[in-house]
Amino acid sequence: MLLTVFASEYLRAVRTKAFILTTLLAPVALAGIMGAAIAAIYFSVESESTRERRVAVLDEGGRILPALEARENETYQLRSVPDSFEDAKQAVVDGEVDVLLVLPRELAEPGGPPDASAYVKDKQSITAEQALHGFLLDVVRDVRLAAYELPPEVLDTVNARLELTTVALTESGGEAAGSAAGSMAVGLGVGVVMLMVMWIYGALVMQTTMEEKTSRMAEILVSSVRPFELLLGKILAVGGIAATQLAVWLAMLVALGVFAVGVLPAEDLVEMGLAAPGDQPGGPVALPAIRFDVVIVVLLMLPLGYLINASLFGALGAMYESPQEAQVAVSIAMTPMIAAILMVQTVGLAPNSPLVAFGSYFPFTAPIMLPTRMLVTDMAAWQVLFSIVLCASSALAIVWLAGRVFRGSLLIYGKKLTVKEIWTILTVD
Amino acid sequence: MLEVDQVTKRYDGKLAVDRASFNARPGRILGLLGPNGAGKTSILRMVNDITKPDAGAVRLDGQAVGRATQAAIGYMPEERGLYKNVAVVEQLIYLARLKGLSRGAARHSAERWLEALDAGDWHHRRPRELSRGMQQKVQFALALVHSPRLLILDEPFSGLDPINSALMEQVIRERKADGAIVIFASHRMEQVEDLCDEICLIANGRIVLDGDLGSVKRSFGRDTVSLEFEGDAGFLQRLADAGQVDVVRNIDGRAELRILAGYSASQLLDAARDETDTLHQYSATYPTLREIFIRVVGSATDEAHRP
Repeated sequence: MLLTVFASEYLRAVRTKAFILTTLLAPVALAGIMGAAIAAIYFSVESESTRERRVAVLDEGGRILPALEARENETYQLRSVPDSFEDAKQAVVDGEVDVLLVLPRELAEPGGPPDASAYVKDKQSITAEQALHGFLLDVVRDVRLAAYELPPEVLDTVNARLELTTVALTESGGEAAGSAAGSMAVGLGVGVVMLMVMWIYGALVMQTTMEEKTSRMAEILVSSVRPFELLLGKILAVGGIAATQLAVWLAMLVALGVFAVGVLPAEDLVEMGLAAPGDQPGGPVALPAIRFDVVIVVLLMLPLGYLINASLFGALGAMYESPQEAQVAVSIAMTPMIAAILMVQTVGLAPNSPLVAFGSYFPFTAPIMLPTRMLVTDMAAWQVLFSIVLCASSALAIVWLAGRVFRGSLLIYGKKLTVKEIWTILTVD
Repeated sequence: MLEVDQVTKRYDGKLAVDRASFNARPGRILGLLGPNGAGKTSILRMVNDITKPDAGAVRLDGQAVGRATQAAIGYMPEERGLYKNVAVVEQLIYLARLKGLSRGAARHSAERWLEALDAGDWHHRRPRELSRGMQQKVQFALALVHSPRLLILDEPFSGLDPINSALMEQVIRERKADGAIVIFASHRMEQVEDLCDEICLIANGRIVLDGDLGSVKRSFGRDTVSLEFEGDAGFLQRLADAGQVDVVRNIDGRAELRILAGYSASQLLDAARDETDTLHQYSATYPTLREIFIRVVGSATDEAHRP
């Protein structure tokens, strides 16, 4: 019976043109939008960083400009300003130079005020500003240090750069690469995908239920099949639809990845953020380390979260006759999941705070917050297991309760159920 | 046999069905009558095991209704329901599968019934492309597709033209001849009189009258007189004012009267002969089902509910 409902619902949906079109076109549309965004960033960064910039330098002390000129660089074409400050400013306005750098005499003195000014015509991009700042800072520091006549080794020591690699230690003493920020980003990405899956497909369960209610097919169906089986069959069928679409999209993504790796040079992948820096051009592309425990938890929690949300949506579909009527109830039902997404940042900042700990166990937020918290902090196996078991048992309870609401409200038309009536449906057979 | 045994159902504390009992037998058509809101749909839902009675029991062939009996029931609810965008044959197959038929048997039966209802070329059409009457036939097929032991039809003829009504009536009679139990709920008294062997009249959640159609009518006696005449009909009003008859209907020289206690059919015949110019027809007969319905339910306002 359940299988019949499942098969019928699934086949009816996947045979529609709408399904085939969304399955094939959604990723194309999404890729188009994302591709355009990435391309926009990529090309603007590219042009910003490679374009030569003409910099006029008004060096009052006369010691910094030679040092700037002595330093090797491809970006800045430096020239001194023989004329007055006003003429130099006019040159910026006229576009003859891109930047007018004004370096006060005291800037070269050790202990002097560290102030300099850059005049530009249009506001610079953040990257350009930072690059100029970094370039100037290095030179000024060298000039100031030169006053102390330090041995070159000391200068090397001072100028040494620091590369900080974050290595999170696991309880077993193993090492896990990745920074908290990176984990948080991954957590956010996973969370958003999960939220969308639960939302979009949950809403589909609501829609098909509503159709059966308003087309009055519901009465014929429940004279042939238990309402609970009808609801569960529907939830599983839409779950199957989701799995089908996600599988198709994943396959497309993998195909695209293989294509990208095969065709594009490695440094482009690095620049686009698709590969970690440090790989030699032509060498294998290193993907970020995959946490298989988190993958397994996601694969468990996603269906559970879907089950919880789809049951709620199914019950709402049985209660309301149009999406407009259901709107308020839908937003209430989705609140915990949205809260979970908003809390992802908190998970990164304070992974062991009571609120985050609670969120990673609370069945309505756990599907999103547990994997994220696992990425950021080291959770004991029993904690993870506890959260999953709690979520699974809650999901079963919610499906059962939703089934009762579904049964009790499916054949009621033209009136809104009050909270009291829903309570009666839940408690009285 | 379907037994509805002392069944009670409340909604929000309001009594919808009050200790209702009746039986429906194989090879017989039971007419379930009653004004709107009398409790017909509530009873039919309990028979279908969509809802459970608060008290009492419903049994089909001795077995309490439940999942197993659902497969043996074909239900055409008053509020029609079809998937708007699913091919007709697919809907029939889905329902037949839910009723326990194998995929092959479901397809075979779906095609057979569409054929039988002169709808053989609609297989792949969707209900939104069909007229109301065509949808009605699909709905009918939906109730029949698994050859149910108990066939429940709630207002099956509404919106149908006479030709399709006759076709449907023929199918119902065939099912009856095959030994199926048929329950026919309607407001259309002529059709009930035509089709039913037994009736069960419900008002305010109670069974107020039930039994074999003939015996029910006989129990009301031959106190109904129908007249066809030419001339002044004023005498009817005078008889009514004198408390001797009840005028059920009086239009254009056709009248239906009920003889009240203390007056007789022959007295009425004499009066009619004296008062009319020509008396074409006089017959003393059993009351029509419509008349019984109105008398028993006892309220002229129910007329307003007739479709």
